[in-house]
Amino acid sequence: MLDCISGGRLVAGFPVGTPMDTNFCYGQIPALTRDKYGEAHDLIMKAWASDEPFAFDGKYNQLRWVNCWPKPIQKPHPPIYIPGGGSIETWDFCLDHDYNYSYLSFFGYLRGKSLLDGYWERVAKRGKDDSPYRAAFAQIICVADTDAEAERLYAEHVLYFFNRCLHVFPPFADPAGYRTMATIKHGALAQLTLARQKILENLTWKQLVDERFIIAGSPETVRQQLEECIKGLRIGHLFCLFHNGNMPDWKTRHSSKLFAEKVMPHLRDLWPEWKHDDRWWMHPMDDRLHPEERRPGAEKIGQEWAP
Amino acid sequence: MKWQVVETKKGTRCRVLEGGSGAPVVFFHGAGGLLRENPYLDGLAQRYHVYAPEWPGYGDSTGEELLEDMLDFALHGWDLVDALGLSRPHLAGHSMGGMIAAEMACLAPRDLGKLALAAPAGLWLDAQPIPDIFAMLPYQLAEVLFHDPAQGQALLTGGADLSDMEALKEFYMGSQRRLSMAGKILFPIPNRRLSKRLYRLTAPTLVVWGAADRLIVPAYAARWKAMIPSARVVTVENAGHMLPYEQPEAFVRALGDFLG
Repeated sequence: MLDCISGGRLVAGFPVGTPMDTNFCYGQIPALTRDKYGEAHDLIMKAWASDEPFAFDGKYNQLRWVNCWPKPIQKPHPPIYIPGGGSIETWDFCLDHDYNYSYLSFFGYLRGKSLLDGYWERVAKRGKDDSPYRAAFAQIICVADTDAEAERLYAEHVLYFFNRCLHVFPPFADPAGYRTMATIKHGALAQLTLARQKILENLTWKQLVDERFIIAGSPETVRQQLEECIKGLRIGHLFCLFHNGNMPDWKTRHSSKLFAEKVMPHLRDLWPEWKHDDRWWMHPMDDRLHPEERRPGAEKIGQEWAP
Repeated sequence: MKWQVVETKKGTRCRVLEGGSGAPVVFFHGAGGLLRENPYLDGLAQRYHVYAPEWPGYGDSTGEELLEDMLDFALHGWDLVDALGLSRPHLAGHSMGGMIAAEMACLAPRDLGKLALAAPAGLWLDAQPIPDIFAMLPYQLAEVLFHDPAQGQALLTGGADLSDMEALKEFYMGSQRRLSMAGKILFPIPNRRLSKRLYRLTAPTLVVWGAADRLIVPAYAARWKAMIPSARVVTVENAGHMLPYEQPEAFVRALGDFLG
């Protein structure tokens, strides 16, 4: 439906879910979560692709009649992004299906590097091409006229987010079965989680900026650091997080406007050799309706089609 | 007692701790698995032929991916009995193992001798919610499991030095693997509607409870008694949820008196 309304502009994200929501709030069994997710994925893909109603006899979903309507505009399906947090099964899932792997972190690109390095190693090992568009990263960004102004405008809100909102009850972080043995064995990640808990206790603006949890400052500062982020992680897609914590509307707009006008133009074409790789970008219909082009002579909205 | 490995028809490979002679008793361990020392099994082996299988996902036993829900678990219990070549054994179980043994006895009431349950899981009382072991950090477990948590902590870690990173990782991985399996029948609420099936039970039943059980509190013993009016209930003093480990002699005595 969203793909139809938007004329083929949907990017479909399929998150596995965190233990906090999937297991502890919704009561899903940790050891079966990934299997159930896999089945749900198969059901959705089949529903999108099938021209006829079908029966789906799944382990977790039994549906005698699956009749998906409307179908997505984008064929064979909208681009699919899989948000992940380091499970090697998720890397393989993305590579099996050629989906985008998105690391949605609040902890910045320096901490994200070891995880994405692991992903790119896996990409190479699986013999896939290394198009940067296979990967995405989420980054908190605050732009102001100067570095000092960025602190003055945004520090309160960013600190509200990190020191007040971003709290994970430690026993909910890693329930048995949520991560597979292979992923736990894979290493450093558990330590990362524990180290993360420690770091997170009382962050200051200086720490957040110096350790690159956030990218904040003048347009030039933000441009430099984002270039380092994009090249360092080898990512083609960037989720820009402009709103943070209790930030008011006007500051969010101010930051994103400065970004769009003074930062973004300089970050295009960082991957010239992959310029035409649109495998993970949406493909809107080219013959869509144009409701904004009203009948000549119509003076008021609502009277366009009056006789 | 010594270890043997059996392969079930379904394809799991389970280690079984076996010893003694006499009437066969199959003992199913709880969610934490068998510990390094299990003196109550040695005690039982003085009078019975004891078989204590390690469930898939525990220790060297494999095939955990083959078992997903309560019916799989209960049938796997009978698959183990078959693989061991036993006929009408007594079934005993502790905590999660008690839940499995009780399910087995409801499914095939004529296939066992007697049923002995030590602080079994499987029932739920809204007024006495069971603490969520899946939302506890490893160091918090001993507190709810043992009458004497300090001693219990040492039993749980098997004497491993958890200040050593490698030892800690080994311990964490083992513990995550065990609870990952247990979660299939215990998460998020350890109730797979056994109460609907208990009417089928015909085997003489014993329910043993630690008076200081803080995980599944003794009110549950009364609930089991209400569900199985013919059951014999024995309470053991100075024992928490891990009563077979905390009071092995009293536990063995209670089972011996009941099994004969």
